[in-house]
Amino acid sequence: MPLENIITYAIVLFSVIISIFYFVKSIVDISKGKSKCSSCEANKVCKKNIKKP
Amino acid sequence: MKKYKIALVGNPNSGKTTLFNLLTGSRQHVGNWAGVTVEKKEGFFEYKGIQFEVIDLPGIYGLSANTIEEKIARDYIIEEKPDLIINIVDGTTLERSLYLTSQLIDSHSRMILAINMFDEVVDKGIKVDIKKLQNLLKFPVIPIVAKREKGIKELLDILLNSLDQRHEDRIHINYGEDIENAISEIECKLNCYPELTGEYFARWIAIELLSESDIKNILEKSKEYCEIIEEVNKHSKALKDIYKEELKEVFNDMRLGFINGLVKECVTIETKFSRIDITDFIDRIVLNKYLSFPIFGIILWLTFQITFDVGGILSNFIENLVGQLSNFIVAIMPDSMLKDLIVDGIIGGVGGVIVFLPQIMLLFLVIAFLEDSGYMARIAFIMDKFMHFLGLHGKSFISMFMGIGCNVPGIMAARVLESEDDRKITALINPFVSCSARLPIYILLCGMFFPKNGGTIIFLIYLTGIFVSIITAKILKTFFFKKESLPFVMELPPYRFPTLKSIAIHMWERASQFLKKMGGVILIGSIIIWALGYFPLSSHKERDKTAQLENSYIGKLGKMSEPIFKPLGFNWKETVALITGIVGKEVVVSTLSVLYNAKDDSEDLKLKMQSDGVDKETALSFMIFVLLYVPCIATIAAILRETNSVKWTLFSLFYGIFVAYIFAFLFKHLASLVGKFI
Repeated sequence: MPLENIITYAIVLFSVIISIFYFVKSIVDISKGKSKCSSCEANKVCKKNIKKP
Repeated sequence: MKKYKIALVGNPNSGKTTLFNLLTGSRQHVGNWAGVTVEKKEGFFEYKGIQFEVIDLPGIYGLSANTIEEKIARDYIIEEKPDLIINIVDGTTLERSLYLTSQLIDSHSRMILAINMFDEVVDKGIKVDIKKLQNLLKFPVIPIVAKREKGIKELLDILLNSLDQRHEDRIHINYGEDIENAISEIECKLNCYPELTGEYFARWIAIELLSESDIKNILEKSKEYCEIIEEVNKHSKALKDIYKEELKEVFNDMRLGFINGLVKECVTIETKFSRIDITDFIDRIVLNKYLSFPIFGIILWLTFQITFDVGGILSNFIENLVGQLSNFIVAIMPDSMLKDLIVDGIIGGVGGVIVFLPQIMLLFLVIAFLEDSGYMARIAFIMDKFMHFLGLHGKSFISMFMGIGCNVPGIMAARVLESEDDRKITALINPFVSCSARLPIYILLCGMFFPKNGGTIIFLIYLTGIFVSIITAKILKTFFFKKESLPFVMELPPYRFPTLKSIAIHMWERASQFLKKMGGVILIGSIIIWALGYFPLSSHKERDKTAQLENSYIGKLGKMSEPIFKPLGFNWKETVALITGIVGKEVVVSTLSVLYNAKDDSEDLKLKMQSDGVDKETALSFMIFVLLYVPCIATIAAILRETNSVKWTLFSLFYGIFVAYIFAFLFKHLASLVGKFI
């Protein structure tokens, strides 16, 4: 099998795994009543910013 | 190293989040209207080698726990006991803002009073004797202008000094001899229960109990709390006999008296032409009985006109870049499966959506301007009467308007409503308000099928969304949630010219979220859709790409569900796009781009769609369906969380599909009819 095809299959497989993970996580979040919008991260709690004002 | 906990407490729209962003360097959403922050937010910062954890609490008028925000704020202050509270007050409404301060004084919290918007205080001719105020309150008072970063260093220096002072003299509001005696006796009784007084300030518990606040959860920490209640009831009865009114009112009067005295001592007003006069003048026009709605309509129409027309010019530039990248890959790579993936899947899918970045940014530029200038609060005010006419609460409109950005914060904003019924209705109708993720779909289709009046069509689509949500609210209110709505007082802040920085932050935030989504869900979605449309490979792929796509996995799935959408005029490609759109609405565009194999050019996509039977009417019907059908997964989760009901979440999903189908069908056939006559 040509290398390009192997890379393509790997990318597709990786995407499928990520999307399954995202889907399962969303279902778990829904069942727990959590919501984090991927577009605006509305529930994001800022814990990373450490800087001097 | 010890980390100090600092809480930002204040009335809505007093500038807490602006200060929070300034201190922590984060970019939480701020706006010149009440109710922007509905949850507490945490951030960190370091000053002169000392670390601080800062909590931005929702805006509240008091600590009586009447609303969810008040409960969040009170629980945090009482239970978490921050090392220091920064009480931010709007200097232009000092007297009103000090009511919360008086309750914070009772809670025995250590605090600093930061008088924000001090530039406007000066503009209005208000003189505040800071030193005197500080002496009377016995805690630090500092004027600041958070928006312009003035007084922040001084505030932080005072913060550091205050943390070192351990035994400072505290002020108590004097509630008069009778009440003070009762407080002292209850305090005495409470001291027998160290499980309570060890954790909470006895005077505060006594005041809360006498003023009939709900602190049952605190009292329950002691097994013998019934004895305390008995003691309180005894004093309560005696005091009611003296004052002949509810003790809650008596405490309020005493607090207001204290504030009145404080203001008389420290504040003088010199009348001069000010921003208030300008605000008054503008309000006379924009809140006029006959002009308010037309002005609102024109502003909304202009918003979409600017987004569509000006954004279109800028997006052509990105479209060219995407086209050049695609041509470059085609030129340098030999024909292979990987090349197909990169050109048709990744560049076709992601590139098809990324071209709408300028429009998204422009829409939020205008929305940020409306929010920061203070006009958004007026929109809520204008709509209040209309909402009440429908039996809804005026604040519901604030949540709906926030949904234009994204339905998730829009649904969360329903928390500002006091009635549970109103909260549920507001959360359920929010998905009908078109979020920014749906905008690329409208721009794409309007650009192709309605190039001359795209802005107007988008404006009408948004209005349709608002119309459906209002009708739905009316139905829900009439048949399921029959309780009367509570009255609503919308604060009308003075008009302010937004700073370039705050508008730039709003725009950048939205752009970065959009770009993040490009590299996440849209990229992954495009790859999977491409793969589903590419496999299984057929032997005659090279000769007939269309046949290959139709025999692919996605083609079979689309063909299977196509009959359901046939009456709406959608072919199997649009059907698949609708299904994938449940993940995120932008994926609809990337799905169409991948499935139609468009050459990074909307003209090419249009021709391919037209040859597949998509006409103006179908495009309109498709946009209406996208507007109203199932929202994205995150929104479904938000509905579940806020309604706390699987029943209502499922109702929202099925009702959405039903309404979308009916409206899309009507639009398609009515548009065809109208088309025949014009």
